[in-house]
Amino acid sequence: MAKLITGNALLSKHVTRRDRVLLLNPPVEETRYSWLRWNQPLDLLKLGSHLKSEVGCGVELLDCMKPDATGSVKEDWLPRDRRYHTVKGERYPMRRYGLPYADIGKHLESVKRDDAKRMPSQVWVTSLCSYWYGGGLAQTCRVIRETLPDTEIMILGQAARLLPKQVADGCAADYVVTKVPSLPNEPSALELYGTVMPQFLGLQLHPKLAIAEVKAAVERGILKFTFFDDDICRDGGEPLREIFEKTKDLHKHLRYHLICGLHPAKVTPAVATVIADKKVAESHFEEADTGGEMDVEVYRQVRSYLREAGLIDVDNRLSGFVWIGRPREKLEQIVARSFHVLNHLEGLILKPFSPTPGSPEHLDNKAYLAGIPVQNWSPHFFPFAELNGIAREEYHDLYRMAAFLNEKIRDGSFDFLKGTLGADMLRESLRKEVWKLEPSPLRVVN
Amino acid sequence: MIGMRLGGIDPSILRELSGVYTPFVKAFKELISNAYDADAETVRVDFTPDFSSVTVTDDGHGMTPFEFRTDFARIGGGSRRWAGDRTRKDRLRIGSKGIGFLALARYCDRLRVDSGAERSFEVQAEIPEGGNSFDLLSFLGVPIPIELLQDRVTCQLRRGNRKLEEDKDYTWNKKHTRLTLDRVTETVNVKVRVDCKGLRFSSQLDFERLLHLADNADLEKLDDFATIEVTKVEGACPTGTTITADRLKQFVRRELKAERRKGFVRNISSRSGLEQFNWQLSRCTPVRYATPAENPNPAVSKLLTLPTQSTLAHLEVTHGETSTSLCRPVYPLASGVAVVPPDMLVKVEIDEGGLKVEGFIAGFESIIFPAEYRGLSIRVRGVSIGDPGFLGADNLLTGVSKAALSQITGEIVVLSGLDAVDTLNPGRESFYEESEQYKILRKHLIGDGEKVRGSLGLAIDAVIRRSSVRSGLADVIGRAALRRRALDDVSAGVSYLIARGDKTAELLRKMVKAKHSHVNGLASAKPIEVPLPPRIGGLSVIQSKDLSEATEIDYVKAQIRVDMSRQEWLWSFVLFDRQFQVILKKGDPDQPIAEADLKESKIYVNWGHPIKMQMDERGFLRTALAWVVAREAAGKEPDHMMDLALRLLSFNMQGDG
Repeated sequence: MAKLITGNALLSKHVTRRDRVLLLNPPVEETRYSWLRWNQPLDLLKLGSHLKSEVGCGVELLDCMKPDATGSVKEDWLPRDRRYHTVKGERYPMRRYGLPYADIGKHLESVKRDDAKRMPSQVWVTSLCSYWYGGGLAQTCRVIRETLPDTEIMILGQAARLLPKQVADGCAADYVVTKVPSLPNEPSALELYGTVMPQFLGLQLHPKLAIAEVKAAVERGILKFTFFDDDICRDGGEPLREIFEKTKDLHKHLRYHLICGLHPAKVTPAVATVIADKKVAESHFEEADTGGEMDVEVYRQVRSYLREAGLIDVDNRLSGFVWIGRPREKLEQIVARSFHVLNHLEGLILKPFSPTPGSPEHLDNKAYLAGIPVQNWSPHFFPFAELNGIAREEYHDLYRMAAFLNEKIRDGSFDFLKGTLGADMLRESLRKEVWKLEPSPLRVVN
Repeated sequence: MIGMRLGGIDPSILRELSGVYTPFVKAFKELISNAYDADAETVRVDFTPDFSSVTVTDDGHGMTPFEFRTDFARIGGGSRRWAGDRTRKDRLRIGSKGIGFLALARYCDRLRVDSGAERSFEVQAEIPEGGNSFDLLSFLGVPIPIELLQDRVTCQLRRGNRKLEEDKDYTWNKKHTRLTLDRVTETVNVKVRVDCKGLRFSSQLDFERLLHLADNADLEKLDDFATIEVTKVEGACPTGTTITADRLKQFVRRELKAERRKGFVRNISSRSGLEQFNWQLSRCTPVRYATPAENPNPAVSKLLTLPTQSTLAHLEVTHGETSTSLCRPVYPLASGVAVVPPDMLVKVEIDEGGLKVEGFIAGFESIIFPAEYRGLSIRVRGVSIGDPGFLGADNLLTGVSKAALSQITGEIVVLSGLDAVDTLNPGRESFYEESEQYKILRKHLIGDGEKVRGSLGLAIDAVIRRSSVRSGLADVIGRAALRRRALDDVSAGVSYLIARGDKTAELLRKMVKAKHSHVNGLASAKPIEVPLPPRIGGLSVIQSKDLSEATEIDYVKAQIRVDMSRQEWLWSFVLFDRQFQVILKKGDPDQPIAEADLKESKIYVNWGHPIKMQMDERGFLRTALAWVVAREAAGKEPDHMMDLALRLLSFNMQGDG
C-alpha cells in the first residue's frame, strides 16, 4: 500500500536533482464532463516550475486532458461491461475523457525504448476531483507500473488530499501526497507543453505573478485566461482589476473567462467594470445564498453595478449558477432560484453538488454518506437524491428546464423569421432534440 | 488560295484509318511525331479557350510546298521511305506509315498547314520512250505562280549516260514551263531542282468536305478540297511548321471540356478532360522523363537512360492562362511514391535478334494509384506503343498472381528493333503478334509458356512474397498482441475492482500481498514457449531485442527480426502493485487450468488443458488467469470466487485503446 506523505516532505526528501520527474494529468472516467475544455493541471505546472528552478531535476509533462489542435479532448465510451453505471436503478452512460490508457502506455514505452536519458525515475500523477480516483487514476497507475516497473509513482491533487486512505488502498502508487505543496509564487511551467501550447491558461489571483504569466503566455500565443480561485473578488476586487488593467491591452484577441469564484455578494464597482469590459468573454456568477434563501438583492445590486459600468444591454456573456443536489433541498426552491437568476442574468447553469470530503456538508451527513461508495459521490449521480426525496429523473427534468429556459431567453437563431410560425416550429423542434441529448443537456446551456 | 489536287487520298480509306486513332489524343500525337521527325526541339500546343481549335507550332526544319504535296498530304508517304531512317539530328524517325496529320480527319473540319524551308526541292521524272514533252507545273503539282518559279528551277536531262543540252536536244517554251525533246527514240531522265529559299506556303485541307464524299468519288475531279498558297518572303524566312486543327468536332470539345470528377479522385480517368489529354499525350510523344527534385528512386532513374537526341526538349500545352510543360510520367519517379526495394526492382536487358531493350519492372507493396500507371509501358522510338499492359499475361494469371499485377509498373525502352513497318499497327497502338522481335520481347518479359515467367514473373513473385510475409507477420504479431491483451485485461480488472473498494477489493488486496504457494504439479510440468514460426513467407525468423521497430524485414538476406523485448512478447503482468510472471506449462488434461505460486510471484498456465480447444489463445489465457486469481483471492468461499472470476472475465480494456 502506498505511503502517505506531505507535499513538503515530497519536495524536500523524495526528489533530488538526479531525478527525472514525469508530471501526468490522467484521463477521467465520468458520465458527463461539461467543463472539459477548462481542465488544466495547474498544480503540476507550478510544481514543474519549482522542480526545475529549486530542485534542478529533469521534468516532463504528459497532459492526457490537453485538447488537440481542433480544441477537442478525445473521449470514448467505456467498454461494454462498464458502459453504464447504475445508481439506484438509474443508468448513466460512462465515458473516458482524455488520452486512452493504451496511448499512455505507448508514450511511456517509447520514452523507455528510445531515450534512456528521458526515462522518468518518478511519475507524479494529479487528480482534479476526489471521487475520480477509482477510474482514470487507478488505471493510469497500473499502466505506469506495468510499463515502468522501477519508477516511483506519487499521487497528488484533490483525491490524494481529500481521500488519502482510499487512494492509497485503491491505486498502485508508492506515495500519496496528503497535503498539496503551496507554491503561490511559482509561475506555470508552460514550456513543458513543448511546441503545442494549450488554448488557455489558468491563473491564481496573485497580481504580480499573474501579470507576468499572462505576458509570457501571450508571447506563446495563448489568448484565453481564467482564474482557478475560490474567490476572485477578494480585497474588493482590486487584485482582479489590477491584473485585468495591466494585461487587457497585450493583444486585441486576449479574453478572460470568469468561470468560477465570482460571488455576486462580493462584486464591487471595480469588479463590475472588469466584467463589463468586452475583453471578458464570459462571467458565471456563483449562487448567492444566505443560509437557505437566495439573496435576490445581491443580484439586483450586481446588475446595478454592471449598468453603471456601461453594461446596459443584456448579452450572453453573463450567467449564474444554481446548485442542485445539495442536501435537504427542495425542487420548488431550485425552480424559484433558477427564475431569480434568469431575472437578473441572461443564462442559467445548474451546478450539481458533490460533498467535499471533510466539508460541513460531508460531516453533517456522514452517516448517510457512509452508505454510498465514494465513486457515487460524483455530483452527476446526485448522492443526496434519496436524502432529499427527489428522484434522479426529476433532477434530469431540471436540466431540461434549464435548457428550455436558456433557449427561450438566449436563442436568437431564428430572429430573421420575425416571430413567424416557422420560427416557433423550428425552435420547438430543436428544443425537443436538445432534450434527447445524452449524456449532458448541460452542454447546450454552455 | 488555289485549289490543289492531292493524290493518294481515298475518302473511305482515310475515314477508316483515321478511325484507328482513338481517342483524339492518339490522332493528335501524330502532329507531335511529325515535329519530332522534323528535328524540332520545342513544340507548343495552344488550345483556344472554347477548345474549338488547336494549333501546334514547332521549330523544326519545315517543309517546302512540294514536299508537302508529294510526301505529307498523302497516305502511305512515310518519310522513312524518302528521307531515310534517321533525321538530320540523327533521331530515329517515328513516322513510318505515312498517315501523319491526316489522322486528324475525323476530329476536325479543317486543317491548316503553314510552313516553309530554306532548302531546294529535288525530284526526278522520266519521259518515256515515245514521249516528246515534259510539263513542269503539272509534274510538280503545286499551283505556284510562274513568276515565283522562274529563276528557281533547274532541270538536267539525261538519255542513258549522255547529258542533254538545252536548245540542242530540247527546247523550253516561252514561259519556261514546258520542254520539248527533239527526238523520241529513248527514255529520258529529268532531274528537277527547285530552289525554295524564301518561299512559304499556307495550305488548307477541308476534311469535312472530303469525308462527305461518296466512297467512289473521283478525287481527280476535286479542285477545292485542298487549297494552297505559296508566297515569297522577303528577308530571312522563318523556319518551322504551324498546323491548326480548326473546328474540332463537338465530341472532342466535350471530352476536353469535361470537369474533374467531384470528391476524392485517384485515377487519371476521373480528372478533367484537359488533364487526361496531357497525361496521354505525355505518354505517347517523345518527351523526357520527369526528374523530381527529391527522387525517391534513383536506382530506377539509372535504368531509364535514353539515347541523346531521342526526346523533344520542350513540349508545352497551353489553354487559356494555364500552361503545362509535359514530361513522361513514371510511377517510381513520382513524388510521394514509396522507395522500390531492391528485391522488387527487376532490371530488363535484352539483346537478341536485333532487338535491344533496357528498362525495369517494379513491384510495390500497395496497389498503384493512379491505376493508369499499372502495367508495362513499351517505348519504341521514344513513344509508348498503346496503353501500359502485361502483354497478355493478365489472361494467363488467376488469384493472387493476377491481383499482384495491380502492384506492378514498368518502363521498357526499345533501343533498336521492333520498329519495322510490319511490326507496328497503324497508330502505333500495338505490335503485330507474328513479329519475331515481338516474340523475343514477350519471351523475355513474360515467358513463352502457359505460366508467366520472365521479368514479369520475377516481379509477381516478389510482390506475392512480400504480401505473404506481411500477412504472415501480421498474424504472428496480432496473436502476440491478443495474448498480451488477455494479460492486460486481467491486470486492469484487478486494479478496477481494488479501486472500487468493495468486498472483492479486500480479497484481491490480500491475495496480492500473500506469500504462500498453491502449486500442485503444474510447476514441475514441462514448460513450453509459444513458438515463433521458424519461417514466414520463406524468410527465416530471428528473435532480437531493442530494435527500433517491432519487426525488421530484410528481404535481401531473407530474414525477419522480431523484437522480443516489446510489451506484446512479455509474459509478465502487474496485479495491482505486484509483478507476476506467467509461465506456460504443458500439463495433463486433468491438471488445473492454472496455479499460482504467490511466494515466487509466478502463475503457471496449463497449455494442455482441454478447454483450450474450445477458445482462442486470448480467451483461454483470460479464463485461466481470471480463474486462478479468483481462486487465490476467494480462498474457500466459492460464491466469492465465482463472482470475482466472472467480474474479471467480463472486464476488458477494449475501447479504451
